[in-house]
Amino acid sequence: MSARRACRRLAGALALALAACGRGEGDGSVQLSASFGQSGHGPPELALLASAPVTGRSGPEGHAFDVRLRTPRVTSYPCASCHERPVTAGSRADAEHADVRSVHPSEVAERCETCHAPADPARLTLQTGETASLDEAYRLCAQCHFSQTDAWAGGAHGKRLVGWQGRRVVMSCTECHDPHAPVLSQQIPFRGPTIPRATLEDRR
Amino acid sequence: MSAPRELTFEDVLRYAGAVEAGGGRSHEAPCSASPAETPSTLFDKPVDRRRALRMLFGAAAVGTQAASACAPLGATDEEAEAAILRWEEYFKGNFRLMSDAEKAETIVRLERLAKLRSGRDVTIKATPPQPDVMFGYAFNISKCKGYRSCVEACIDENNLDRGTNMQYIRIFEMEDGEIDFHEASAAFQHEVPAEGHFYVGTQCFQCANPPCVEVCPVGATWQEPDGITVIDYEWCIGCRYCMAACPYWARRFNWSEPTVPPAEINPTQHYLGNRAKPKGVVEKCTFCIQRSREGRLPACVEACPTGARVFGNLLDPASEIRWVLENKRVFRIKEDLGTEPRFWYFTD
Repeated sequence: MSARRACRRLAGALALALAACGRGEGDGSVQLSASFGQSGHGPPELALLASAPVTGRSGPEGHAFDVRLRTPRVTSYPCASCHERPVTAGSRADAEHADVRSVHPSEVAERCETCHAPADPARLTLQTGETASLDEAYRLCAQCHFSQTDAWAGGAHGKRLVGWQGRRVVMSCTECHDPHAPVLSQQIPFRGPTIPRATLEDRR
Repeated sequence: MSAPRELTFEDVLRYAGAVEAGGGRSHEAPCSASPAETPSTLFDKPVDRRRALRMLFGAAAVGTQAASACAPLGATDEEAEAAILRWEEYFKGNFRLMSDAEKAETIVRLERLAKLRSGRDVTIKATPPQPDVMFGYAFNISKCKGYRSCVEACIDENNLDRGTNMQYIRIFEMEDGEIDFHEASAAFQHEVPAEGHFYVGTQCFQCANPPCVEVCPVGATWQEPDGITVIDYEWCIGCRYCMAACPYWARRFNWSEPTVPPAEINPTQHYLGNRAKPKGVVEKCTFCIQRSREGRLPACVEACPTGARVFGNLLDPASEIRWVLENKRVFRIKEDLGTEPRFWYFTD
C-alpha cells in the first residue's frame, strides 16, 4: 500500500519533529490549547493538570496557564493517514517506525501500547484507562515524572512562550523531549569568547 | 572657526539666532532654538552656557560648510550632515536630565546617524520602566548544557561588536562537585555537555546595590526603577572604574569602534540598550531592556533550548521567577559582598 510506504518515509521526520525544541520559532504565532475544553476537562488552565491521575493535585495558586498545541508541528500527523486499522498488540517500533529511537521504552521495558492506544494511534493511553490527544502528552508524562511536572506547572521547568507579561503559554513536554529518547543530545556549542577573562583566568 | 573669546555673549546669541531664522541648515535638526525664538526673545530668556556654545559652534560649522572643524575637505553632503549631527550630539545632556522633547531630538539624530553609517533604518525607543515591575532572573545549573545558544542570541539582539567578538554572557564549565570560578573555563569548545561537568552562566546580575554605579565619576550609569542598571553611552568617559568595581566581570569596554555588518543589525533598539555604541565606552547586559520593557523575554531566555533560564517580575506573586524563589533551593554568587544581585541560581 502506497500510504504505508509514505508513512515509513515520514517516520524519520516525525522523530525529528518530536525532538525539535522550539529554537528559532520567531513567527510569534501561538496556537493555544483551546481544544482542551472539548475533552470534558473544563478550561485549558490547570483543570487538566488537576485531573492528571497520578499527581492528583493542582498547581500552585495563580499559576493558570495554557499549553501550546503540539500536533500542528508533528510532521507525520494525523496517524490515520497511514494507520488504517488498529495497531497490532505487541508490535515493535523498530518494525513499524524504523526511525524511532526507542531508548525510553527500552529502559522501562514498555511496549508501544503502554502509551499508544491500539484502537486509535492518534491517542495516548493513560493509566486510568482514559485516552489523551498528543496535545495532552504532559498528562501521560505526569504519571511518572512528578517533580518535573511540579516544576513545569510552577515555571522552573520547560519554556514559556510569547513574553514574561500577560497570558502564560508554555511548551508541552514533547516539544523539547523526544518521548522515545528524552535526553537532550550532545552538540558542538556556539563559538566561545576570545577576550580572556582578565581577573580569573590570567591567574593560572 | 573664529575665536570665541573675541565675541561677546550677545554676539553669540545674535549670530546663532540669525542663522537659525535664516534657515541656513540643510537638515532637520530640532535641537536648537525653534524658529519662533527670534534673537530678541533669546536675549530676554536665560540661556545656559551649554546651549549658547552649541549654537555658536553649530552655526559656525554650517557657515563654513563644516569643512575645517568637523568634516574633511571635499566631504559629501552626507558626510557633512553626519559631522553636524555628531557635533550636535556632543552637546546633549545626560539622559536623566533630558526633557521628553530633548530625548526625541537626540533619537532623531541617532536614527539618522545610524542610517548614514549603515544604510539601515533603525528605531530607537526610550521606553520608560513599567510601574510595579522589578525584574529578576533565575538560572538552573541542573539544566544548562553549555550550548551557548544564549550567547548567540545575545550577540544578534544587542548588536554586539563582531570585530572583537564581544559577548555579555559567559558560560563556565565546572567539574561536578563544587562551583569554582577560578578553576572553571569559559573557553571550552568541545561537544557539550561533557561527562562529569555542569555549566554556570554569568552576565550582568542587575544588583540592587550596584558598586559599578557607586564608582562612576560622571553619573553615566545608574539603576532604573525596574532594577536594570543602564549606561548613557554618550555620557560615559571610558574611565572603566565600573569595570574594576564589578565583582562579576559583567561589563565590557569598546577598545575599538564596534562593527556590525549592516545586514545583521537589529533595528529594534533602545536608547539605554542595544543601539550602536561609540568607541571608548563601557557596555553590558541590560536584561534586553528593549524587549523586557515591552513585556517580552530577554533574547537569552527565549533562545535557551533547555529551559534553564527563568525571567519575570519579582513584584508579581504569580510570576514564574517568584515560584522558583519560593520553591527551589537558590543561591547567588558572592552574596557576602552585599551587592544583592537580582540573579539567582537554582537546581532541579
